[in-house]
Amino acid sequence: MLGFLFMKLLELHPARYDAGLRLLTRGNLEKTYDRLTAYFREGDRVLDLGCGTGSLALRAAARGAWVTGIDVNPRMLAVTRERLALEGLADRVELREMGVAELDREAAESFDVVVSGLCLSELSRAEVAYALVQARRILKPGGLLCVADEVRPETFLGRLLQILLRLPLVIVILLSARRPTRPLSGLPGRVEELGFRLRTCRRNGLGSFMELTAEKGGPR
Amino acid sequence: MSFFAFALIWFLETAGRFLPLPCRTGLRAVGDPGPDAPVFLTGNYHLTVARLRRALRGLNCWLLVADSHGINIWCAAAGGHFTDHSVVSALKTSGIEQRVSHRRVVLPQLAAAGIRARRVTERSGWQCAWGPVEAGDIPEYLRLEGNPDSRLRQVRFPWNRRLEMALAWAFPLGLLTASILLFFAPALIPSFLGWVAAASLGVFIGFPLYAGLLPQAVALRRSDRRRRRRGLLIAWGALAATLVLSAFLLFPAERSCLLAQGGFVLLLLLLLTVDLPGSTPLLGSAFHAEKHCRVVLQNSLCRGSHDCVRVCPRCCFTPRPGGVVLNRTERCIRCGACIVQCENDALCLRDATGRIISAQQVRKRKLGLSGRRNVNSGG
Repeated sequence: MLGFLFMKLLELHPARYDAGLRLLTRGNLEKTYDRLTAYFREGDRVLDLGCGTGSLALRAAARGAWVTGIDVNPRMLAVTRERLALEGLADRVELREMGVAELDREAAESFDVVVSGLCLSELSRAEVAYALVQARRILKPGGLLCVADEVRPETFLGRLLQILLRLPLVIVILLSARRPTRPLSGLPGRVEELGFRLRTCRRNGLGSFMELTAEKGGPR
Repeated sequence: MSFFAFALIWFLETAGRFLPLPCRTGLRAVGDPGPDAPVFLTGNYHLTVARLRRALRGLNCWLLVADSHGINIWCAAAGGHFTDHSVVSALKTSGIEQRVSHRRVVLPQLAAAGIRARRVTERSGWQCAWGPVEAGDIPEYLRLEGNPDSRLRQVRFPWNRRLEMALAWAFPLGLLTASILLFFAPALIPSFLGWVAAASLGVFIGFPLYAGLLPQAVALRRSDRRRRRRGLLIAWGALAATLVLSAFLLFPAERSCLLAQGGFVLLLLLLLTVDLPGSTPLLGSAFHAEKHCRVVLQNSLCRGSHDCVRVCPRCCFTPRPGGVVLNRTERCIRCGACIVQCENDALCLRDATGRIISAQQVRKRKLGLSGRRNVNSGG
């Protein structure tokens, strides 16, 4: 019975996800997404890794990009589909239920932009490494990689603060994402190792959130 | 891992069984596996992985831990937390493809309620086989060369599993009882905790004694069900009265609050047994929306692939050349594994009103942990 009540509490509603995230990020996430999508050009082919409820995919489509959104959660995709239909952007976005592990089936050099918002921190280390390698492969020369995600602060004080701040939020995170996230570490270095050229890299005040854009070599 | 270390892990994690307990995902080598060594895949529930490592001692194989959100395999698969994507991702990103020369993976049989073996093969190129229900049967499974017999394919509820369920209930109930009593009557804590332990152990260890009386155990008409329920309620009341009376005679110090003790024990028994069938792997939960559904076999669609025979944890099917017979429906717990796996969609559910729930719909419905099936939540 106890288990029953507890599990009932944890039942996931994708609709709760957005509200939960807004609460967690106090509106900053929206601004981040606006800044990232400002780099997209009309007619760009954009791949959204872990599109979730479609916040990035919608913005990209509104800027005139052709978007492919992938996510493993069909309920999230259903929410995205509804939002796209409401905005009249359904024909610009193709949604697929698949994980980053299946990116090897995409053709090489077929996208102008690979974007990912709050997805990589939900993956295992092996999956993140795999996703970054595949992102490089499927980007056209000069293509852009855009990542907005939770990262591990570089300073000890920052990490301590992050832990303290996250403690009360653990419940909210569990309710919204249903699982703890793993903040990324050393992301800029890993991206550069793969042969990307960093264009922008900004952290929030605490150093726990990063917005990164990097370019694959060659003319765009 | 030594026996004592495992016993400690077993005790602590069984007590906290209702919480997800994740461990690291990824590839682990067991013994000295070569490129031909078998690959066993499991979820990242910590206790399962600890149990598997004990079961695999002395073997040379690869253990691949996929993401099941720290939930045990059966619940995670039925609830949509352990999916085709988790398996495909583990196979392709863990590096196992560089370590072995073959592409055969053994999946846990109970994951069949959520993971579609054929889809994993399509998306990853790996051939899937269903392993035994119990980790401890893996050596026997290998001896049978990957063709488990019905003994290995069945869920059982032996005394050690019943002890686990007793502990899993006693711990949170005891914690709750103690924290409430702390404010009202701290003196009662020891005796009430004793009742919690006694009631949990009694209900689960004694399960085979009264299992046949449970209304879920046999297909019954509604009026019979109600009568059996009333009978059980009277039986629990009598049990509570007997327990308290014997305590009255044995421990004179506790005589002062006899009514409170009796009421508490009755409440405990009701709490423990409100979803007793759902706490066992042998009977379907009374909370599930599908409790009145039946699995239906459409013989005209069956091509005799025998996938249902391989995944049914209750051995409801009997194989015959070119088809199957669904001849033990009274054992069915509606886990849905047979429907999910059948490549010809020859199986489906029929609800109490006679409406058919197709295989495609069943695959999409994931069991909410509270027993509600959410449509549109699965592949």
